[in-house]
Amino acid sequence: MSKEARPTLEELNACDDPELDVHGGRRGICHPHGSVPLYVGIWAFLVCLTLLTVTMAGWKLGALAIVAVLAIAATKSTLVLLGFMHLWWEDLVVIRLLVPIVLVTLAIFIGLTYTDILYR
Amino acid sequence: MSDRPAVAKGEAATHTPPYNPAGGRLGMWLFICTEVLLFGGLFLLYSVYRYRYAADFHAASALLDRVFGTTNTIVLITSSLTVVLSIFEFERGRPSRTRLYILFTLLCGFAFLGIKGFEWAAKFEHGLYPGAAHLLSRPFGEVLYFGLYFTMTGLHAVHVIVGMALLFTAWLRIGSGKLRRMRPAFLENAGLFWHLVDVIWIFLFPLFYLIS
Repeated sequence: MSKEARPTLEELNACDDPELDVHGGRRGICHPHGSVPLYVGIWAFLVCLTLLTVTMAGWKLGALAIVAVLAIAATKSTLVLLGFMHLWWEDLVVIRLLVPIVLVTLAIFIGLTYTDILYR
Repeated sequence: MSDRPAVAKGEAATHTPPYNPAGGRLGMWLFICTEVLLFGGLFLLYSVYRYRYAADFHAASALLDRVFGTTNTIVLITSSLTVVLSIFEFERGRPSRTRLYILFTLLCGFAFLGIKGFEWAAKFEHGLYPGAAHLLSRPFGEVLYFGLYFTMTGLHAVHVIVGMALLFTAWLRIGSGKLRRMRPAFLENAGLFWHLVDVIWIFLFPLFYLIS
């Protein structure tokens, strides 16, 4: 084999087959999810929410503070899950269901523990 | 059956099944769920002790540096962005840009660990580590708080290191041509793991740094 037979990185990463479905769904490999503006927008929103939650820690919210903190954290996580982790575009129903299932499981754990903690 | 073309001899040996990464992705998501339950148990422990020792938890939280915590949050969010951009560029067939984004993510990982290490070192210097005589002389709720702080941020830091190792492996394998656009599962799953690390920190940060 001569040296020029070795393909470059770009050639190795060419789109061999635009119709090939590598995601187990409707999308072909040569059409990635999302766009750069979308991802940068999500990032900017996440940074804003972080600064908001830090600022809010200075306010005297009392018992509401923990609710506000958890609501912001939940919003941020949802954005990461849907946008960055591609759940928004997920075609596999099993994977779409996994997150709610694990959250309900966690809620049962926490709820049952608190029935013990609060009413012992 | 009979209208099928005859299979040539030896074809079965060279035949590769059509590529389907859905199984690998499902496996990664199942693993992520087990991780959520692992950290969920620790968060439950945190919430029960915080409920029992509310005043001590608030006093102990005031000992953490909010500037470091906020900086680390921004660093991790930014690294999540560069990971998702690296996957985006990879699926557009731009391996060089992909590798640049992965390198930037690794830099963010080092920055996060550096800041974390700096914070931990300062706590150790002030005698605020599990088992330290100074910490044990403080109220019991503060002892519990710092036990949970070191356990949870430590376990999280281990995840950061694992995520960096996975992304570095992806960087090497793209460079050597083993990881290619038409088989992107390794990079996508490493990315999912990195985002999980980000999501866990999104909850750790306000619960430890912002309750004073």
